[in-house]
Amino acid sequence: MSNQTDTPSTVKVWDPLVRIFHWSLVVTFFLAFITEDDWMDLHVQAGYAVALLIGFRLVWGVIGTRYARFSQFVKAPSAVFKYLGQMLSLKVPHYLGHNPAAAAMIVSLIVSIIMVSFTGMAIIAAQGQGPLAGTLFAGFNPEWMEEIHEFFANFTLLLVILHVAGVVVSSLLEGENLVRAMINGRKKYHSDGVDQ
Amino acid sequence: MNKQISLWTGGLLLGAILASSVSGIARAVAAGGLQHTSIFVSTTQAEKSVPAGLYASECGSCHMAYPAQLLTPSGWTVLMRGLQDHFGENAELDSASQEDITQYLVQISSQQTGHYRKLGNPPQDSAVRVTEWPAFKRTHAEIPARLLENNDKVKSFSQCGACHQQAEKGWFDEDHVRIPGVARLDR
Repeated sequence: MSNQTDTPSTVKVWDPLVRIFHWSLVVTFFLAFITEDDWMDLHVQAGYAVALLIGFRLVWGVIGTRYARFSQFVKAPSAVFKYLGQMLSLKVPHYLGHNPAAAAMIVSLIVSIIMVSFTGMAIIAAQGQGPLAGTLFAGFNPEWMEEIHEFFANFTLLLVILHVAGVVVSSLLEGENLVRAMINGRKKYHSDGVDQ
Repeated sequence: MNKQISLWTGGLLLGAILASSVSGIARAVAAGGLQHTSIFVSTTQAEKSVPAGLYASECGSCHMAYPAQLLTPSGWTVLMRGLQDHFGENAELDSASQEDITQYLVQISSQQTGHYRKLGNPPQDSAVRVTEWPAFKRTHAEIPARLLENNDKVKSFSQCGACHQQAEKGWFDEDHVRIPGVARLDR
């Protein structure tokens, strides 16, 4: 009751699982990235963790809480370009959940990481190891798989850099620390938000 | 789905994933995952054994004692059977030494197949020249042959250790490459 007279404060947007997923992915992806050739056992274990986390996110994007669902935030490319245009003019509509550009980044990251995970497991499957051993993927040329694996690993790193840049720009445009929102789950409430 | 139920389902799923990830990573670290392992997972008891020393002294007296994982078991068998014409040289050993060394090389090279990760598959299983493996050619394509063959300190692509400073330990990554008189690759 009293809330209605208070100045609009923050609302819970990101559920705990989304946040734990996000930061676990950050840690495991970088662990996998820095261990690459030199610490193979550790690299493979970190890679499994990354793959399982992405698997979780795909499930959670369907059965999860409101702002975790893909159907809530994934938009058509036209909406993404429109939003990016609005970013250039420094005037963006408020989204309580992910904005369309952020959604496109999430989809890109997931697809890219799936490519890295799959090719990584195909490489070791060629040696009879890992979950894809004994499947038809074990017959894929491991050298090609390795090239694709390295490409998408580096591409994912590029996406991560763009992702962080996008978070910084959006934080400035929205006047809100979006990194903190991914830690405590809360975002500022705007009465003119377009997705609530 | 009811929000509470889905949070519990998701929580259990994420919890299980994190638990298995942490234990997998912890096991890898405990198993020496933080030591700089080469592309050839190595250092077993067998590698410190008597035949290992024999291999190092007999074969290593003329050339680098190539890590056993560089060839397949059948490659080593073929190579060791033909020592009287060993790439144009007579490198015959007494039969006891030959037997012991062959056994050692076959044992080590069949222990794991980790080397296929980097070297790809040999042109045929019994290939004895690692320089003919497709992956070898691919990874060395940027090195002009004249750079090595006219180089007194290298002479040939088969002299791994001339440029790969840690080759005998099985480290072949770019960070440890220095072509004598030419350049470091990691600069």
